[in-house]
Amino acid sequence: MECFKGYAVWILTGILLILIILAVAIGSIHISPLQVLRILLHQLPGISGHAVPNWPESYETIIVLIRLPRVMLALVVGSALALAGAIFQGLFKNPMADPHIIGASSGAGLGATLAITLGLSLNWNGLGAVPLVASAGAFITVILVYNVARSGGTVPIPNLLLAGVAFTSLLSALISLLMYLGQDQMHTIVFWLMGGLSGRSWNHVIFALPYLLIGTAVAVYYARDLNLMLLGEDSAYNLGVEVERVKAILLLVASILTGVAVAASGMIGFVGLIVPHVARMVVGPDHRKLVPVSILAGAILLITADILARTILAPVELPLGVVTALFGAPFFILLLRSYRGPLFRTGSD
Amino acid sequence: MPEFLLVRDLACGYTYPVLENLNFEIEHGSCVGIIGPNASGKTTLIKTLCGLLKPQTGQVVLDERDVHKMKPLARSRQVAVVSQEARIDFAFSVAEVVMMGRHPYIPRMGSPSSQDWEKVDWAMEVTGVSKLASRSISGLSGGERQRVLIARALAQEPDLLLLDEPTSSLDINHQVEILDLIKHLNHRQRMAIFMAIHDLNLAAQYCDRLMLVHQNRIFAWGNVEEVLTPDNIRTVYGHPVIIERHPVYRCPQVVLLSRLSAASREGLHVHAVVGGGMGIDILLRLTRHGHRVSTGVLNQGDSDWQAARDMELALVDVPPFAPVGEKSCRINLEMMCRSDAVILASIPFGLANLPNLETLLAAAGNGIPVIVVEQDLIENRDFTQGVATRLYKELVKSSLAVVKDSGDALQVLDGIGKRR
Repeated sequence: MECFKGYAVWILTGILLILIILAVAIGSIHISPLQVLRILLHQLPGISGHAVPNWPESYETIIVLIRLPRVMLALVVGSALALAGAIFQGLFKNPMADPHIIGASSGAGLGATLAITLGLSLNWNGLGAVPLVASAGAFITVILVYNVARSGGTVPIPNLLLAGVAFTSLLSALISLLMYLGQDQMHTIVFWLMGGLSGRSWNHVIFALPYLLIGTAVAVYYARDLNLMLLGEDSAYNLGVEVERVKAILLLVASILTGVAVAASGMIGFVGLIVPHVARMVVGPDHRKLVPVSILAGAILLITADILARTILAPVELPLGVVTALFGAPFFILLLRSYRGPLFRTGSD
Repeated sequence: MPEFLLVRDLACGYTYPVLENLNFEIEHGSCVGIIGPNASGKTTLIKTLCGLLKPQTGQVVLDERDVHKMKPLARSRQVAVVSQEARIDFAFSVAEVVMMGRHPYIPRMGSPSSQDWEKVDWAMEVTGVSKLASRSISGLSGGERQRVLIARALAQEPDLLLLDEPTSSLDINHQVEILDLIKHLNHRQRMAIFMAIHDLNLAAQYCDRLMLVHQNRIFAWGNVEEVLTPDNIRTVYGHPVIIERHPVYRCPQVVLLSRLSAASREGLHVHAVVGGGMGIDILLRLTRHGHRVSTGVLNQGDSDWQAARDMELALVDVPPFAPVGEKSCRINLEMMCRSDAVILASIPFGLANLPNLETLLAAAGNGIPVIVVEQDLIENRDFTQGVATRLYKELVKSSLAVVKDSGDALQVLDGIGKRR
């Protein structure tokens, strides 16, 4: 573990690159990883001239327009959920915190359900109504939760948790109600809620990627403040951290990341809970390391889960959210059993 | 010395003011202790002084700048806090935690400079945690963790160090260790210390000045001697105490009196003739054994007089340095005659208190049992050219017993109690 710690980012980057190529290679039409690499390199300006294409043109279409966007979206969504989880767990100092905790996902879920039941048709940069209304739902929910939790000039964490729980139940009830009323679309809604990446295009990647980049930049920028806040908000204040400001910014960022991830791919559980935990076991609680490692590990986990979702019962595709939970939960339980010492010390010594 | 922390008309608290009308000043390099019962507002005041809690009225001025208007980073270079929430649940190493104290000095995306590392090493050195540098903070004992948090505060290089009950959960050896360390920093670094501390004796021993808070205000503020008086403590804590001197450091020390024995009314009525500090022990032991105690005649201001008053004993007194007059002798004799026994402590006799000896003889003549405590020969404590010695020897003849110390005197009293 110790020797791994210093190189974790590089090792994970290597694994991620290999995994991307593998994920693109796997599919109903088998294309060898080497071929994939050649095709991908061929797309890069500057390199494209050096190799003579010796593959069918359909391969290029399959890889560039169908498989790669799906893998890239898995990367973006996995990273976004893991980053949001790391931020929430840090801010809440709570091991049970995950991206869905303050209601952003339920907000997105309700938005998507509304869009489906009302049969809304929107188009913005090639995106349909579902991701657009879903991200709006996430955003509105977070603003509501934040304002309900606000007390005086501060937003105490317990208030935020409780407000999040309350809004989550309210929104879930509304989702159920809509499903009950609009039984025709029930299947579509359930399918969407279970999460998945099928039928997603580059438009989805382009929609979600900027949020991930901005979120990463913000998280890295405030990583040291987040470390100080782990030792208590008052103590962070005394060390010069503008606690309430940092908290507001990071909450907003993590919630938007969650909302966008859910809007793009539905409800995918466990990634945001498990990845920061594992990352913390490897590199410790310092967010300057935890943030990049969580992002990479989240991408790796979700790409792997997507490969499994596509292949286990091929040609039937499993919902991605089901796969992450089916494999994530037992893995997490094993980890809990084998890891000696507290994961994330809470309670009493 | 110039004052550098000025508090003006401060009211602090959450919804309602916990403390009001606070006006005080603290000088550079002083060590101030804030004492008071639980929930009297010690922590609230500390949180307000460090800027964490906005004042309801008034202001806190540090080096001519309003603490609540300072930029966070500038403020954290001047004020450091060691608060009570000492739990740390994350596996940061000790060195990482101490380095967090350098946060106000390290540029946002930068990494620690060699100067930052020097300061961290120095802070760990001073607090004696260098050996723990790579250990995880979550696995440390309470005393170790407290030192690490003090080291982190030192790494901030503050001019003012605020501590909230730095020793509350520690064993006595660690309490003294931590307070010695704080005192050392106060002396060496000329760092002003303002600490909430509930142990009155440690407060007296380690602080230059004390602030006693009670009923939403500063009840007493000044030198340790001025603040730690039996009256102040009884009023604020509602408990009778006596104040003694620390045998080594000579600072005031609070001695608690049990309310149980003061309330018990089953013992004998014992009158004690004491004075000059020789009687505190006897008075204490008598009350503790449940005897009803009266004493006299004492000069006001005498340390035995002070103790008797603090214990709320019935007593006959005369003004300071005044000789014991006829009237007080008569009252004293009445008291003795109403007692089950009279005890004479091993006190020195001068012309002023010689009448007490005569009163004792009269009481003995009336058949009141007299117990004489003789820890030293009467000749050595006779300052009346032999008059006292003569009266004393006569008294010894008519006394019930001559004993070596107050313990023996209690046994004699037990005997009287059984016979009765």
